[in-house]
Amino acid sequence: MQCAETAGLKFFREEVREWLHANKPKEDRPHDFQGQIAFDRAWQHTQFKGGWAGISWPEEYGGRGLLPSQQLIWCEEYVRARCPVVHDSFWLSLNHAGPTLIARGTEEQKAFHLPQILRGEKSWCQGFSEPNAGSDLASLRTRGEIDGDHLVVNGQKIWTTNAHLSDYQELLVRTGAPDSRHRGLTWIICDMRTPGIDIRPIKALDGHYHNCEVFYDSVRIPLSNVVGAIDGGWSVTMTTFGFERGPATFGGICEMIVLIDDLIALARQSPPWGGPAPVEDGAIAVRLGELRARIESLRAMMYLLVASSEAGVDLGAETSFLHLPFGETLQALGRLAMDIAGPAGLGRTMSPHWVATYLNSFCATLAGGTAEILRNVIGERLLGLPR
Amino acid sequence: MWNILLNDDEAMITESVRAFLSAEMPLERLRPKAVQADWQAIRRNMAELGWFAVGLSEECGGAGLGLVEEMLIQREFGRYVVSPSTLAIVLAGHICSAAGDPARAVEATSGEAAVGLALLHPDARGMAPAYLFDWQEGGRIVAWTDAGIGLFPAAALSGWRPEEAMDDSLTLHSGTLALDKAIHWIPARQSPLLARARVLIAAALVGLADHACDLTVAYAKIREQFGSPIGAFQAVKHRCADMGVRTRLAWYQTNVACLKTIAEAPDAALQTDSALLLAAEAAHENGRAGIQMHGGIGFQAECDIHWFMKRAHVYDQLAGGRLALARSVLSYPPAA
Ligand SMILES: Cc1cc2nc3c(=O)[nH]c(=O)nc-3n(C[C@H](O)[C@H](O)[C@H](O)COP(=O)(O)OP(=O)(O)OC[C@H]3O[C@@H](n4cnc5c(N)ncnc54)[C@H](O)[C@@H]3O)c2cc1C
Repeated sequence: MQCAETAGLKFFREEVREWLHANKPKEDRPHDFQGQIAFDRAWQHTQFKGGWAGISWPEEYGGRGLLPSQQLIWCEEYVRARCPVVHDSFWLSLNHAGPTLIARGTEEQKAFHLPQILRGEKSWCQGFSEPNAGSDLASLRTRGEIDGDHLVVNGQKIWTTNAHLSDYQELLVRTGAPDSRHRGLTWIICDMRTPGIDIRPIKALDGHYHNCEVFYDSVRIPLSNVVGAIDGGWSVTMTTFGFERGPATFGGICEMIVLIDDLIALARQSPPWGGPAPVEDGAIAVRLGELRARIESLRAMMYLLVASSEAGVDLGAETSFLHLPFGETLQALGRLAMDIAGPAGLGRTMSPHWVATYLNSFCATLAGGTAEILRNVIGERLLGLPR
Repeated sequence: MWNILLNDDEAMITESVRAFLSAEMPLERLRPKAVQADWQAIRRNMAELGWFAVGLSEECGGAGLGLVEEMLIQREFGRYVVSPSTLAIVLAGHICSAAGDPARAVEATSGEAAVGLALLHPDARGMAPAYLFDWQEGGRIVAWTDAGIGLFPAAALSGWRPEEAMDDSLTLHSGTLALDKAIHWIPARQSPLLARARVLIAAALVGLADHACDLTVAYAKIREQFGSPIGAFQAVKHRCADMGVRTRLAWYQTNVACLKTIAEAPDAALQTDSALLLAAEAAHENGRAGIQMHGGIGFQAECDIHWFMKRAHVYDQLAGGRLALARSVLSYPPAA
């Protein structure tokens, strides 16, 4: 264990702060799809030009080659400066598609894709889940048949976040026998503009279009797009999950650190309809205090992940720990915000921020593996309990 | 960045303390018909190993190490439900050291004499109602309020009488402590000692949660019902997973609190109170879930799982209790 932020890191933090303050977008992110794509690209490109894209990515692919702790500092300051949403159409590219390629991709794949992500030119989505294969991902049925130097894909994915805003996809297909489970899967890079792909956005409970159905009708993908080996996609998927359930939660955790401060401030005000400030109520105070403490502990866990990756220590299944408390804490925060807002939480126009947080929080225990599946993983892989 | 990864030395401290305690102070010692171990000899042994003085300067008989090592040791003490008087001894050493009394620091941490740990109201002054854990007649006492922390002679305690402790692994006395009769009194603003004591309490609470989790997971692997180990049932497995998550988050938070306390970071108190709140909750909840996952045997005195639940209340009260901790966590401003 070691104390304190070095002078170098402090300086870095100052630099980040100043830059974000001067360069963050002044206008709001638009609501229409085309507008969002344009906005996300422009903002990512601005970050790239400023030298802030891929802070911990290797330099040869356009990154800065700095430390994971610097990436985390960026993330903390990004949120503190109230920059546009962390989960825009580049989030997945930056947080698990890119890192998966860095860990498992070929030299050509890295050289081609990584710089395009950082420059804000191409964004990614994830095509894992299917209508009949969610938690039981290894039962998926979308077929990939080898035909010459291509894989021909037929089938359907669902819940693909931002498929309608994306250029590429982490696509997982069955190349082995129908009952081959996790031994017969292939992880392949799919260009979303390939003929035969049909994308249909789905309206979510918060009224927004986050997810899509994606249909594949004889979609031809070059075999050179396979990451890992044919039929070796499960281990690449585990690499992706390692990022998705670990470091990819950092942005969301940093957002919670700001949210809880806002919520405490709200709880200290007398409600517009009268009565004492909610924080005077002991039950609210306990929930709010415990929530703040929990969020601090998630931050502590981020420090651990960063330190272990810098020291080259493999924490193994320990990383999948972060995702479960992250999702449940966000959900608890959303619910508490509604309790504190009281009647004002009934109107989206009255408490836009808190209603959006609350409604969106329901996906935090579903996406990236449900809370139940994560408990299975923790119980079996970390605690060694029988299956 | 706050690097909370254990280095090799730190991992070794944990390992060696755990090995010693599992041999000398196994939980079986607390069972109804267990042969009583010679606690005084063990305490002396611990003192010889340097565990009570690790954080003190060499002049005071210490190893010149710091709060990190003390935290690691306290977690192990928590795991084995060791007497809170070990915390009192550690603090007594620091109090004497802060008071410029190295001779007494050496004596206090020698393990020769027991030191009782007192629970006072945080705002107490003058003649303060006190509850004492593992105090022996004639023995010294460590006690604190929000104003400071002190080492007291037995003579400062009046009207004392033994109580029957809810946590029957220790003794409880009630009495009145004369706060102006301290051997040494260190005002809170002059020393970070109180802050350090709170980190150590958090560590002990994490130890309780941690061992409750370990025993429960181990039991879930061997106890069979319906033809399979109960740990294969999700209702059990998921509760075990929750025990593991609670323990780890509380531990990482305690680690950050420790480093920030050492560095006197502006948000150190927020970090420590957060650690205490989470660690107490982890100890309570793991204690409860641990009893539940053991079934009927979990309710029996001979089963080791109930000690964690009981001891959790002692440390939780020493930390101020849930509502006070939560209010305290809310009292700190947002990070700059
Ligand atoms: C907002 C959002 C974004 C998403 N984005 C993507 C994306 O970009 N790409 C992608 O591929 N997928 C995405 N998903 C899909 C997500 O990964 C799945 O929804 C999730 O894995 C659950 O699968 P399912 O929906 O089929 O539910 P099911 O697997 O049918 O689960 C239904 C319920 O049963 C429980 N359950 C299932 N199996 C078990 C078990 N063995 N033990 C205990 N309980 C069990 C589940 O926990 C859940 O509560 C997203 C989902 C959401 C909500």
